[in-house]
Amino acid sequence: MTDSSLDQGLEAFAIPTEAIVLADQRPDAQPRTLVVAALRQELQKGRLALPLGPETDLDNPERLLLLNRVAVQIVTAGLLADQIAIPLPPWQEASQAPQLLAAALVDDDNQVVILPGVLTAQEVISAAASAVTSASEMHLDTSLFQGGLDRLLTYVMVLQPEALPRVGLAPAPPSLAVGISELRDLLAGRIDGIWSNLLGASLQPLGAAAFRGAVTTPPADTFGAGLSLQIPLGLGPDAVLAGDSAASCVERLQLSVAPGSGEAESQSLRVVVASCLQGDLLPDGLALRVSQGDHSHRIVASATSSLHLDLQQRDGLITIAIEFPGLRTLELPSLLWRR
Amino acid sequence: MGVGETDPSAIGVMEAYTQLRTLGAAGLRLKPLPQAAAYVQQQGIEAEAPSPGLDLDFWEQSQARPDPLPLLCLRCRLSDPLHQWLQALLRRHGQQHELEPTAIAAYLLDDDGSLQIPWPTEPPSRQSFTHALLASAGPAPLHPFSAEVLRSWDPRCSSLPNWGRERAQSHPPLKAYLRDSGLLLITDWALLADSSPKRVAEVWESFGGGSLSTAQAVALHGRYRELYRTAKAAHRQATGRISGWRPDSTFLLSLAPDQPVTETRQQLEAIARAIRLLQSGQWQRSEVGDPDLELDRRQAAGQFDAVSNDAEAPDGEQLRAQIDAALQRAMDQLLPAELAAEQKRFSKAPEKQRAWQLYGEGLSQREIAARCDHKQAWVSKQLDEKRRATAIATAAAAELVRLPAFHSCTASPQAATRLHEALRNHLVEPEQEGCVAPLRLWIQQNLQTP
Repeated sequence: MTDSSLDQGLEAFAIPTEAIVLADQRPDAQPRTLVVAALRQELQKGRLALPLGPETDLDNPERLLLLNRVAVQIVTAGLLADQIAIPLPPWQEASQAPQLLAAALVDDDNQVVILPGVLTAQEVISAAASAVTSASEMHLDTSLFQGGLDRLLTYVMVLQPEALPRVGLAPAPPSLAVGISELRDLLAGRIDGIWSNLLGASLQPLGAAAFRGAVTTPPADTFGAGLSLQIPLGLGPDAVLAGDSAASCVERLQLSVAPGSGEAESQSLRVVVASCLQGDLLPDGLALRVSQGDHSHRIVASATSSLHLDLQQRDGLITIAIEFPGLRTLELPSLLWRR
Repeated sequence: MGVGETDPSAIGVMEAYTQLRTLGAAGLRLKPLPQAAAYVQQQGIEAEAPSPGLDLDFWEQSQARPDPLPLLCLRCRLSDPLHQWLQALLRRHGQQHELEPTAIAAYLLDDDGSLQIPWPTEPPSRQSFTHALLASAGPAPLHPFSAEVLRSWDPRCSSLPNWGRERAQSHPPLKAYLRDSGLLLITDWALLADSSPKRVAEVWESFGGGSLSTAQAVALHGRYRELYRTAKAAHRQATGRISGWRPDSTFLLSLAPDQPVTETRQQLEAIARAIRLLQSGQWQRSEVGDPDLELDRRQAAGQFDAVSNDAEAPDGEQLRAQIDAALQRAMDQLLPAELAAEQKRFSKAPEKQRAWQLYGEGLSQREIAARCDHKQAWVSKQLDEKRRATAIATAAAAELVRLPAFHSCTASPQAATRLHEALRNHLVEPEQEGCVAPLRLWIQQNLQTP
């Protein structure tokens, strides 16, 4: 008698080529210990004399690993896990936050470790926006981690420290909605984590760089009084980028968002996209799309140095997006007009 | 009957409880046991097929008196599902991983039907194979494997065939053999612990069956995951090992106090089976060769344009010379020790040396496999090209970024990744048709022939 269901659900899985099979068996070791052993084994195999620390507390899963002086948070799950839990305490203070997050899938039974890949701190912040998050941890799909051990080693051996900035997560999950009145708070210096960390947003005096492309358009009495929120943009190889990742783009732009001033401050909002180089034309086809509730406005650049849209107070979430043909659209976190 | 063959006929009571599948000197065979047959006849069993109820009857008889015959019947009964499990393993992975049927049978079907078993006394002795003897055993592993299965079987939790398969999955010597052959045995319990509620909901919608709704399956799995960590920690404390945990009746009862533990166990096994159906497909897709290298090879020429700093880049020839020099230094640093380790194995396995020679000559893994009379997976495992190329590329990248032309790669993770990938591809991909790639060339020049 043959049980054909055995074939379909067989318990044996081929060991992936990137798996690290531990040479020394450690039957009582915790996953972190196995990951450290796997790293050591691979460093030795590759004759890479990279410092690994903290030397006296390497096996402590709560400590960041220091690999070639780069702070790496190692998170572990079972070998066939589809999600992995990321403890959030290390991310609460930017100055202490990891520079890289490395996932490790561990089969303690078979003493096999797979490192599916790493995320930079900025990629973690980006992934956090859509992750399932509790107060102490968030859950990310293991498929988000790409590049394997190769990428981890390349990053820690090749990159300058400033290419891997430490970035903290806001203690609470980032809110999708920011009130317009709160935007004034943002502009007064309290920039929300996701805006500053992910998008590289900063504050600039209004009327300087912020509206350089539209400098003749906004009446001074309406928009000239305060600060504007500035976000660096760039046209990357496959997407419209924001923040630090925009810095390496050839075509660099600037997005500015500012509320009105005086009586108009709680009733109007201006969104401007301009080139970083004063007076430069925007690439033809670049589009600014702003949606608010059921209303949507979209303008496309054609031999122009800036795009701007003015919004009046209305119910519904405000969504700002930058589009360019052939590239993935950049959509900013929504704003909400609160009375 | 050979190991790879299938017995197409349904098994009746007499065959199931009186014929043993065992590995002998002549290979695997079905061995009729007259003493077991006499015992079954003496019981006057009217059922036509083996069943959990009959298994339990034999089990209770073995507990009631110090007679090895009821256990002998159960040993016969156990050998068939173990044989099926072995066949399924060979069908699915035997060729690809060059599994030896008799090697696996030696781990699982080593019961010769004797009424006595070797007992770990000092000096070693042989004792009557009874339930009482098994119950008195210490922690040391017992032989044959059927003794190990029977001494830990709890009929309240699992049927005997299922228990046999589960113990096979976690049998350390077999796991070690399969691991060396490139296969991992992963238990249902680890698989369930690894799976998120999202995955369970998805697989149960697609592959689930029985009385559980998706919400009930997710809820049961959630309770399992809640208690799993604590139970596994307690197991580690008690045994000093992380491996080998499996849920006992207390654990299963705490998951679902209102239903029999066998039902809870069956439900969990059904969830694990559904996950496997999805998961094994995903893993099989990436099983052959080095897909990253085989499928994603691009022409190396021109790749470095994207990663070098245009403003400061030397001309193409100079750039290429810098790259080649860095790669050569990295290969000279890393490869001699690796090749020396490989060469130690050549005297025992000349086909390994042949594979390396052919690799140095520029043959594809498929061509090497054909000439060495092995599978492509074997060639891939011997050459381990991806790992070696990656390590060399990493070392070369670390050197190159000190040069002005590549310095910009230190400022961006994307640029560093592109540089690394370009170096790795350049190592394994010939520059022009008819040329030999740098890694192969190094092997060609440094492989010592006898």
